[in-house]
Amino acid sequence: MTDQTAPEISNTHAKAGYWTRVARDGQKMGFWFVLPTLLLLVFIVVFPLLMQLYLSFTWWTPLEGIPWYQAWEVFNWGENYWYMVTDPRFWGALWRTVLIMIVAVPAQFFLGMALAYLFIDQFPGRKLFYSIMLTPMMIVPAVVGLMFFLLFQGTGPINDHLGLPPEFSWLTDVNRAMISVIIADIWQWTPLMFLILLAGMLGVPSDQLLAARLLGGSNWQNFVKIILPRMKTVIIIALVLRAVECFKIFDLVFIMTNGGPGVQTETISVFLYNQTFGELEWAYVATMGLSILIALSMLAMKGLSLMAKK
Amino acid sequence: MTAIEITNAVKTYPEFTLGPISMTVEQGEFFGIFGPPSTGKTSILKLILGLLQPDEGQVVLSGRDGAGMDVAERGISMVFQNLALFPHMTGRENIIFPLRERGASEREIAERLDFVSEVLHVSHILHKNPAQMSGGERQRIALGRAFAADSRAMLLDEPIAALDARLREEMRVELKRLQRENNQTFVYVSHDEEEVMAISDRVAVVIDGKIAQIGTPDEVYSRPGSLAVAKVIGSPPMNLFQGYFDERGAQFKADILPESVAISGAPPKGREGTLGVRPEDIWLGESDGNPSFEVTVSSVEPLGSYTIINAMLGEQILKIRTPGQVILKEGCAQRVSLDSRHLHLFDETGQRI
Repeated sequence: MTDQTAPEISNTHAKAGYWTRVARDGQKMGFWFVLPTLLLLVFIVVFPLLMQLYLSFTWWTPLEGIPWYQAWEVFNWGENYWYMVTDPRFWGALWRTVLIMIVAVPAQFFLGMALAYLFIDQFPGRKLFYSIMLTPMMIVPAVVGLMFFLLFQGTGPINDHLGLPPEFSWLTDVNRAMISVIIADIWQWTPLMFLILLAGMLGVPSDQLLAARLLGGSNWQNFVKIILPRMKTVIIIALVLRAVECFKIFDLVFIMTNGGPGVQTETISVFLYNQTFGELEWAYVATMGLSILIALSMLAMKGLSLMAKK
Repeated sequence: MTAIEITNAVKTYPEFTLGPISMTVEQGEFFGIFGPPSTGKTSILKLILGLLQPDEGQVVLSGRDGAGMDVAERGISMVFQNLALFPHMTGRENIIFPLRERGASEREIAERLDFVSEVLHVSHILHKNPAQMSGGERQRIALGRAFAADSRAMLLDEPIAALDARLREEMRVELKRLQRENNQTFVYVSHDEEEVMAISDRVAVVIDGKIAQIGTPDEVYSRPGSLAVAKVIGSPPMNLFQGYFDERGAQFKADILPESVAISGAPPKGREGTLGVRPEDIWLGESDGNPSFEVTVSSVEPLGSYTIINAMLGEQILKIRTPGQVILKEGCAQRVSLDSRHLHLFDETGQRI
């Protein structure tokens, strides 16, 4: 008996060893499979970030006459960061970006919410209107910029419809230029808000709404007490998404006003663009880029932590 | 007083016509609506709720025509099959929801909440969210919410179908008690025949969008108005024999029964018809003056207080329900007799004779 079982046991041991080895080899092999992607990631994410960090501590510009990796020769111990916090043009651009964000995003939110509420019930032509509703966000932002550039011309259709003279300018006026940009952004991105919020609204079980209606709730009460609480997560996602996206607004501004008149509509992205290609201040751009990345990440984290709390 | 009155209501869908429906539910009545799945039970509820407007006919609530009344105005509360509790609210908030909605005073809310939690024994779970409750607890909160609304009538759409069998039985007793103690009007919809029969004062049997019969559970069971009702009421179902009435109208000759069965009443002489016999009206053995014949036992289901015997009569399966425990060998021949006092006769259109 013992003679018979003993070899069997050792046999299974050998078997287990074999499979363990295969698994280990498999892990090794897996590493080689993943390696190209890892290298790619290092090159497209980690490397540029480190390079940016490095440059942000130097005076280096492409006109310096030395290659970027020798930028340590003009190391400046973080003076770029000090320059940034004292640069009125940077703060102006930041403030204008935030202004667009705090006006456009809530406007998109309320419009999107109202539209989504209209679309939860069936009505004739719902699908057609739905498609039309979503068109603006499908258009390339640069094209939207061009559209609104043409619309807001002194002799353009908007002045024509409002009965305003051609001298009444939008895009070259100190205040109205900003309004025009905000209107264009609202027009383009309300549909995205609408889409996300509608999805969230349709996720509220219809029998709960029916129950609330039967129990005597008015439409408004049911909206506030049943729909909104259940949409909390979706609302946070929509707002964070739009806030971050809106912060990066470039195409519309660049085409409609190019930051003008003066710097009246210069947003962070446009400012960075001008610094990069106009002034060639690449180290300074790296400084600002990193700072904004950190600030935006913190903003998004804050928003998403609200969601996690729920 | 009549709580709900539906007269000749018709609703036409592209592939289905509901009605004409006529029924009245008295104040304080426990009214059951029974029918096989997708026969229009829920549409009847929607007519009462006002979610559906009838194409013809009308719905009258406590003497008021419902045509111009808004859903919320009708004062009808409902317990949904999946309860539709608000998951982001506690039990308490769920129950007082209808009171808050109509702007009741704090004192009234407190009193009503006390009353409802008293009747439903839910005081100890008021602080929980629906997700933390057991199935039975959720059920009570849903009932409590409907109760708190203090409505004209409560509609229950298979509210206990999702519970397990034991809990379902408990809730059945509970529902009946609630309804009686508060003299509430209940309209209870289910496709579970046993449930509806056990709980209702009167039952409407809905088949293919029409009300086939309305009556007390006993009437519906003992005197089914048509073949269709006879088929859906009773478990195990009624045994049916195809055949014809003889020329004198005194005998029914079934194709499968060896001898003809003496009948009374005024059947259509010489026409085809159906003889129905409930499983408990077939006895084992011979009995004087009752038709008897031989069957082959195919299986026996001992169910404690009674036993179901499946027997073959030619090609047809016969269901026999007999009290107590009976031991019969499978495959053996057994003589059975029909209780001639409880024969159900239907003419060729399926109407009861």
